Amino acid sequence: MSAVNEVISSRFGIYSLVLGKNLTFQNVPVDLLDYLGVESSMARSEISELFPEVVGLEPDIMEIISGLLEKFLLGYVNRIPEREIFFNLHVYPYEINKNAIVVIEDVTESGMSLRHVQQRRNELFLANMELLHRDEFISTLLNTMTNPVFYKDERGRYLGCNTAFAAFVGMEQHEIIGKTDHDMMFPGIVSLHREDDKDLLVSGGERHYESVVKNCRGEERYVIVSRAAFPAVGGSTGGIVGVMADITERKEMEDRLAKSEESLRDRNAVMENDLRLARKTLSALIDETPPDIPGCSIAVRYQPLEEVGGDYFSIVPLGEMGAAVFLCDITGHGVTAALFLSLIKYFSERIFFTCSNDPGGYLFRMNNELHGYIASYFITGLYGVLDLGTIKKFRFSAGAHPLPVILRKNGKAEFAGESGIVIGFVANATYPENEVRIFSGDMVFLYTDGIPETRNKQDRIVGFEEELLSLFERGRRSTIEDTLDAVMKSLGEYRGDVPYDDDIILLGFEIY
Amino acid sequence: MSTAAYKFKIVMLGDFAVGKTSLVKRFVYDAFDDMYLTTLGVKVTKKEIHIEDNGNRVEVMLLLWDIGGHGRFSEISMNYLKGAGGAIIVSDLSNADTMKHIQDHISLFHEINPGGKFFVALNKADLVDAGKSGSDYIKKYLDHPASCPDDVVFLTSAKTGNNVETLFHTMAVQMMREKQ
Repeated sequence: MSAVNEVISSRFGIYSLVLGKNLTFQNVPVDLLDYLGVESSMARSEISELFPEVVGLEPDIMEIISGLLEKFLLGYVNRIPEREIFFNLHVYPYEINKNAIVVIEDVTESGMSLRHVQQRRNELFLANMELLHRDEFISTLLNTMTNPVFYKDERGRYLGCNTAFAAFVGMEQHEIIGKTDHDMMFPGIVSLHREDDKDLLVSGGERHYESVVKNCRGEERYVIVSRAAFPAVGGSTGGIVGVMADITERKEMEDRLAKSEESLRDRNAVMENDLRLARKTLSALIDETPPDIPGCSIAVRYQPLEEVGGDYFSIVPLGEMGAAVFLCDITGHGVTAALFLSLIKYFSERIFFTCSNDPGGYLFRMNNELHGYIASYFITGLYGVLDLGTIKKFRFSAGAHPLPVILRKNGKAEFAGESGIVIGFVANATYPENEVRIFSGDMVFLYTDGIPETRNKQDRIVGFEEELLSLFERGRRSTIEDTLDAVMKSLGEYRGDVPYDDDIILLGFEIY
Repeated sequence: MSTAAYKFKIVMLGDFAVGKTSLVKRFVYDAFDDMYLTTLGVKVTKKEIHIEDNGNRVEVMLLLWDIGGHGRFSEISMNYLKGAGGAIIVSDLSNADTMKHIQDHISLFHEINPGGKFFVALNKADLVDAGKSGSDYIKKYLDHPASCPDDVVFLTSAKTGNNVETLFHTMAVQMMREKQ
């Protein structure tokens, strides 16, 4: 043993020891203890104390001692942090059934070298894994997109696509790679292919266009294709990336909307025609030309809001006595209002035969005729008798209607009388009769609420009080026609750019 | 010469770069560094811990066998696993592949040490959703989650040290109880 030990120990970095069959070293050299970084007290120690790396492997070592195993090796034992060394631990049989020889071969240099190689390999492995993960992430993103996406190289060969595009063309993703549009058999691919691909590759930028493309099942689909040139690593154009948006459903909806619009236009035309007819009918109902009444001059201004208005009036001569006037404003406008007006005209003419000289009775009957006839349709109205006899007076009853304005000869205006409730709202409603003396040179004005409710830019209305009286006072002219023009002009100036939102009827009576 | 009443060989198993060495370094030296070094061959680190056992202070020596993580199990010398009283299977929570291999490492360990005690360290917990438990991950990635009960699974972070001490201590206590 000593001869062998001398030979082995003479080589640098190799130490040998004799291991007894009780797995104990008898005399560990100091230089080995120093090499292993352990205390000198370990010169006599069990193998597992000196080399904890063999814990659990004692049975194998016992087999070496007993000659059942030819060799035992524990490679690249790494002593960190105690010592930055690597060694191979060899155990060979020596003197069968008595002991073994343990050789410690220092391989620190090769270990460090091997570690560097493995380190580099592992770094590359990790970098590759990161790239794979990134690639997998991008693929996942692309495949999550419901819009078909494809990308081609500068020669038009597909570099890849997402699953939506593969499904659209009816191929597997890997089958598409490397193919050109012309290699692909699906019928719509030519529609996707554009002659300006070359321009796009040369000039860069992006293109967007709509197209009808047949998918792999031969179904026509409307798509918006957006394509852009992407750069290669060196800065030159690498190829084209494209995204398709299937807008078939949207197109179909647009078609349906267009048809619906057309249908609505037709129906609207019918309605407009109906309105024109209603307007003509209403024109027949309302006689805008006032009758000639002895003892007074009458002027009319009628300004319906829509093609068919909701205001109505009639002036009926009463022979030598003067005239009767009926004025009303119904809720709403349009065809229904016109129909309602025709009903009112019918009622008013019927009632007139028995109540022409009885304003209160007239409205009482009108109220009862209308009550409950058409729910939600009521009127405000006024019926009056202009008595131009020896003692001139104006007798009238009103149902929630703006009160008449009497513009005296001296230029002062005043409201006359009081009003009852809305006509047609409550059965058997009574309407007080008012009587106001009028004189030669006075003017009497009857009107609908379109005048006092005229609104200006400051969102204020003329109102039913002083400002309304002032409007008439300022408008006074020498004739009733000029006066009505002046009042309407003032009203227009008050309104400014604000559009009218109600019908207007203004009746003026100038007393001789 | 160790005076420890118990001495256990514990092997650290797991895929490459999951943090086996970092866990040992954190437990033994309470240190962590981001520098990545491949473990080559075998590195055995000793750690003596004290366990309170029915009012007695018991010293337990842990021999932590840190062996290189490899892509293929066949590259691990079976020598390294022989005589191991226990194993810590380490995986990287931020790397799904390493999670899927947990079952394989358990099988490998039990092939050499049938019935050997093992614990699972789901490492790099500092990088993932803090709201999930260990069993959530086990159910997600293991074909047979029942083979990995909740009490052997630990969410660890060698970087922050979270749960590292608890993992090794729990393992030492359980191995000691089995020896008694």
